[in-house]
Amino acid sequence: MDYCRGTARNVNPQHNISLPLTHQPTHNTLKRQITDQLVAPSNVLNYERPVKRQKPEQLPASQGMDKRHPSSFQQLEKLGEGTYATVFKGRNRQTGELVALKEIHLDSEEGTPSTAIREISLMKELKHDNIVSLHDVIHTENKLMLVFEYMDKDLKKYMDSRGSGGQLDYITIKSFMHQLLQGIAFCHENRVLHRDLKPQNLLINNKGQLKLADFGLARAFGIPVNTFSNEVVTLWYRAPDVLLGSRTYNTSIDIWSAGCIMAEMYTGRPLFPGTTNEDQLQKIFRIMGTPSERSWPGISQFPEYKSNFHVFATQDLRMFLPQIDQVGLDLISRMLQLRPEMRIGALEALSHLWFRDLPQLRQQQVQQAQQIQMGGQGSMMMGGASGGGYGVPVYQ
Amino acid sequence: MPPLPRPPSPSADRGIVPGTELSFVDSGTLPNADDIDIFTLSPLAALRMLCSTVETLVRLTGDIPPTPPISHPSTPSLGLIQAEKENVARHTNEHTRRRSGGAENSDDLDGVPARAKTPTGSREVGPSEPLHVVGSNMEPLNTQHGAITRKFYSKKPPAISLEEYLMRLHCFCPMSTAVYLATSLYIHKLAVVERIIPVTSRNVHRLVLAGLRVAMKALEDFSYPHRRFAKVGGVSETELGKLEVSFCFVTNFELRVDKEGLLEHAKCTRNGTVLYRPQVDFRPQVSPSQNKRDLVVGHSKPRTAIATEKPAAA
Repeated sequence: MDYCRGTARNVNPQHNISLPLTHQPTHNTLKRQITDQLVAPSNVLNYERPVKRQKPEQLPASQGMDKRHPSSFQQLEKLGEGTYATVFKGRNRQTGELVALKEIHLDSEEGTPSTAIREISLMKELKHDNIVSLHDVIHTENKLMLVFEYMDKDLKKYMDSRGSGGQLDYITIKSFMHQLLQGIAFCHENRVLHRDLKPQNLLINNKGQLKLADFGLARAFGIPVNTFSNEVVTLWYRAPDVLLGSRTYNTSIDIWSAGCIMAEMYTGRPLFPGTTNEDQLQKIFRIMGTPSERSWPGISQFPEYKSNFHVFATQDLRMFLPQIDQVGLDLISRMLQLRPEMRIGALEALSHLWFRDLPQLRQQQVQQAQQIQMGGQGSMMMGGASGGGYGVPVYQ
Repeated sequence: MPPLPRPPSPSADRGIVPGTELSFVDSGTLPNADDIDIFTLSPLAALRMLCSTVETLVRLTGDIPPTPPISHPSTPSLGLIQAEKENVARHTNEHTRRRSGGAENSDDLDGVPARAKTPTGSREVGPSEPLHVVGSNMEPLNTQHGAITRKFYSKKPPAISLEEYLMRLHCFCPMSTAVYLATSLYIHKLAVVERIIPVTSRNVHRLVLAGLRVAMKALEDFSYPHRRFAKVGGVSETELGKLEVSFCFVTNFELRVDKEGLLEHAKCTRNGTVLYRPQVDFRPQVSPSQNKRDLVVGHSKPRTAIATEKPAAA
């Protein structure tokens, strides 16, 4: 009952969150001059203020996210800080349910961050077991608070907590990869690209579920837009076509990230830990081989293509993943194809032979757990209910 | 092992700033409804469709329920529009007086009939049919929507016409076909499908401004700096921020669009656009070279689109 004592406080924090400012096209003097030439804003609409009414209007309810007072959540300890938001653990005062509260400061300089608009509008619609669910959005004076389902830790912390140098066991890797690909497949079916898959953005709960989180960089594809950024995906997980400057990438960039994550679960270390764009490409080519017009027709048309790329021979991935089995190696090789059009799709990957024994493996695991339990060891909860600050309290 | 690189920032990509040049080669020609391909539809054509959708909504919002006969609009005429506008204004005044008298059971929202309980999609509600009014016996579950929608209203219609306003936005902050169509879709949904907010000449400017801002942030990797968009839109940065977040909530953050939705909306809008005669030329008034010179040399003379925006005497 007192598990949160000392850290609990009411929701009314004044945090300074740094926001990514929308890029000013400073290199484009033409555009700046357009702005500078504009007349004062008061000329068009400003001379009349919005009408103030005394009584609130009554309109029929629409479903979903009404603004509610944030005090219905008790804010607990800070879970993490991102570029545009701070995440706290929270508890619903009515139900006692644990939640994650993502606090987004509304900047008067740039308005609502587009990452927040994206994240809310996409996650509202992407309801799936392997995607973190967004319960609510609360708007207060100068911030938005996103209420998510509570997850115990991210995949990176999960791996670090396993104590074996970050390496995961075979069954866990298979189960996590299956769930990751299910989440990705669902996004892609709904024509959404995640664009920032990495272990830090995959959340794990103590039921062994894996869910995709952080849709701030995600976007819908297949609509006639003007701007498709090349600055997507955290460097280590960035696909070679993006590194080569592509702005016409598609779902296959998420698959590349998934392949990198699979390798990382085997070894505990990132597969391609580059420091710069060029270094990243070189680290990839060192293992996958340097592509040429012959192996990748059209590669020389990419903006960042250099004819003097250091030429590396293709190496056997098994050298870097000694624990992997032959079938698993086939799957990861299909995900880590340099040419985007050669990469396996998420749905196809899910029906890969490697996943065929997953149901039996899971059943065996459950049976083992039951045997241990009957032997009088361990608690009811898998994964350690009392572990650290992330443990889920048990309500009687 | 180096530390994990910082997360990417799509808007930091210097190569994605959309060019103003686009607007000069775009004639804005509208294809037939059956021939519409949203991937070849020009941004200017999409802008015209947005304008016609919203103008039609404004025309239809009067003392009749805001049902959506968008595909069968009455023949537009200046006189008719003016009469309707006056009607709206008169209605609004009466309504305001009644409200200040303490009427609880109001059937109006900001001068137009509140949402009638006709099934969604019904297009045939005659003016003689009684409205089912959401009255005092209903729980005020959603008083917030009223508070949010009020943010879009001004006391009287702005002096700048919607076409001129959109043209101004398009000149200085060109946006994509998807952004224009999505904005049209959002507003159509709010006004016709969900009937959350009636579109009138008093709120239409702020609605499109907020809609475009939100659509661009939701759909594009680049969005214009807040200061610039506020300046072009003619509101303060603070107000733009409020309109933006209000628009998000009033649409319930249902901002995701797909090509099927956009195409269907474009086709449905196209039929209305046939009958719609734009009163201003949507193409920029200056030639590309002239425009460029103006911009580079820094002429202080305001351009045509801006010159028309002088506020009427209040």
